Amino acid sequence: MEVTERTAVRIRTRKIKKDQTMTKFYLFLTLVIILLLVAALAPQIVPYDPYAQDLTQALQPPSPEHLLGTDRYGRDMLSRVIMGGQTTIYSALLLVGIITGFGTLVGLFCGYQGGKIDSLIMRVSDVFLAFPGMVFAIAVAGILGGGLINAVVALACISWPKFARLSRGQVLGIKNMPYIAAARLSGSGSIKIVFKHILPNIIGPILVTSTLDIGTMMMELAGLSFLGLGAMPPIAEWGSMMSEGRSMLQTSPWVILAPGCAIFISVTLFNLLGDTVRDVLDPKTNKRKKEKK
Amino acid sequence: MNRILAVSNLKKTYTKGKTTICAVDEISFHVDKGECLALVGESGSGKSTVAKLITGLESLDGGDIILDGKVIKNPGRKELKRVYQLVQMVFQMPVDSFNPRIRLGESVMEGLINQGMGRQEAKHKAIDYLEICGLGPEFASRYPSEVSGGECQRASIARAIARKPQLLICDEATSALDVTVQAQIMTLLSQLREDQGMSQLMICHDLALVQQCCDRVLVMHQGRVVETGTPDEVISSPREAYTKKLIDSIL
Repeated sequence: MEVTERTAVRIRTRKIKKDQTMTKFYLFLTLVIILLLVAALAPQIVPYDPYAQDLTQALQPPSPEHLLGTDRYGRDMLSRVIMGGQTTIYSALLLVGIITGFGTLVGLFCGYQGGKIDSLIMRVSDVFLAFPGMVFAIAVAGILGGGLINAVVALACISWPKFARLSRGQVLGIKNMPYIAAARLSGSGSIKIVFKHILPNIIGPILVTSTLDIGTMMMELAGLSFLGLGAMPPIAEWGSMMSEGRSMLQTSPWVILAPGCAIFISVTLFNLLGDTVRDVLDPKTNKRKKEKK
Repeated sequence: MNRILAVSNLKKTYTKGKTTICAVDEISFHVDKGECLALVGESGSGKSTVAKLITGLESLDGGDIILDGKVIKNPGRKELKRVYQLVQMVFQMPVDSFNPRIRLGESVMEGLINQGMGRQEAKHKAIDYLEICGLGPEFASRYPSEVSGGECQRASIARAIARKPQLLICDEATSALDVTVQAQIMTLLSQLREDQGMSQLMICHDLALVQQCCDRVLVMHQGRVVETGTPDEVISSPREAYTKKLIDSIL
């Protein structure tokens, strides 16, 4: 009797835990979607033109008219933060998309093919991994010159090996599973095997890593812009906006705090989403689910 | 031509660091059409390697494989296609031999679609083949993790026979299953041999099962064939010391 009760309690706790994970996942997903929508609709929802200068309104503290104050050219900070969100978030998403896609493809190819090409590409990726990332990105962005696209390219150059390594390791783990041999015996070619049988089985950890990477990439992009190697003024971008406000930290702190808080909030949101995605896709949680059946 | 498969002086070595292991050492045998040949031996005797060599999953280091009258030697992609029209294989771990993210029916269909069949037709055929193997149409929409080991092995046999092979290799097809399910699978395989006239190569270590349903036995030890004959001959009067040991350990 006692044992049954204990099992019932355990099943209930497990269900509550699972429900909590899903609630958290939906909560963060909703918040991230709101963030993305705000960024997407930025030109429509900004209260003022983020690029219109009005020197008579320069460095106004937050007020009902300008909720986040104005910068030294009299531009509305709220409008600039919303507009900057579009630049920062979408370039981070683009960057993560590029490195996830490219890195995964390289990893799939290397892991499945093996041999000398695999060793060669992996040594190249070792070289990239050996440098401290940000320093290397600064060097690449320095060579390519300023600009948002160049900053994305610079960060993509140093970040793809992580995904290549990750997916290669996953491929090596399942390449010798009997179902791959069975697919080959069914007459499937290498491309079909890689994309139908291998990729769907390794995509989980890759998705988790890339979701967690969105926050990191956003920080690094903002970092490059802060150093003057990313978005160029007058483009509204959180990193470069912080850089502009740096000298006014003592006198007009809202100029640097507004984009700073925006970075903080969105990076935290993406990281929390990444964490919950991991909990949802965790193979151990899946296994438990199966056992229950 | 009465032989579906003939191998001669088959050789495969694996090198790990400085040591070279000879997994298959110059073995020769043949399988006649409609015959069931058993390959028995302990773990590591090279039985499964033979299966992988015949199906092109491993490359040959020496010897010849003659499949339905044609020599196959380290086949390219085109040749492999021909090989997979003639030979199919059932694996030891039924659940692992199916992609966990693909439904059983879809896995059976894959071979048919790769032969150029349309999706709808392949779907009907897949359900037919599952039915031949004793699984109802509802199994087509189940995932490998949702069925038992025995049911999964039946689906695996359905996938193999869907390509209408002339030779079916069963690599320890029953060793992961419990005794009653083992008997059911063996009955199914014998039935298929009678109904479809296919030859079978059973890779196995259970001599009792071999005695029940195989026409000839090959005993392998350390990559070599040490004894060959009908199951009754081999089991009742083994000539080699290793065979005696193998029989003693089981009976």
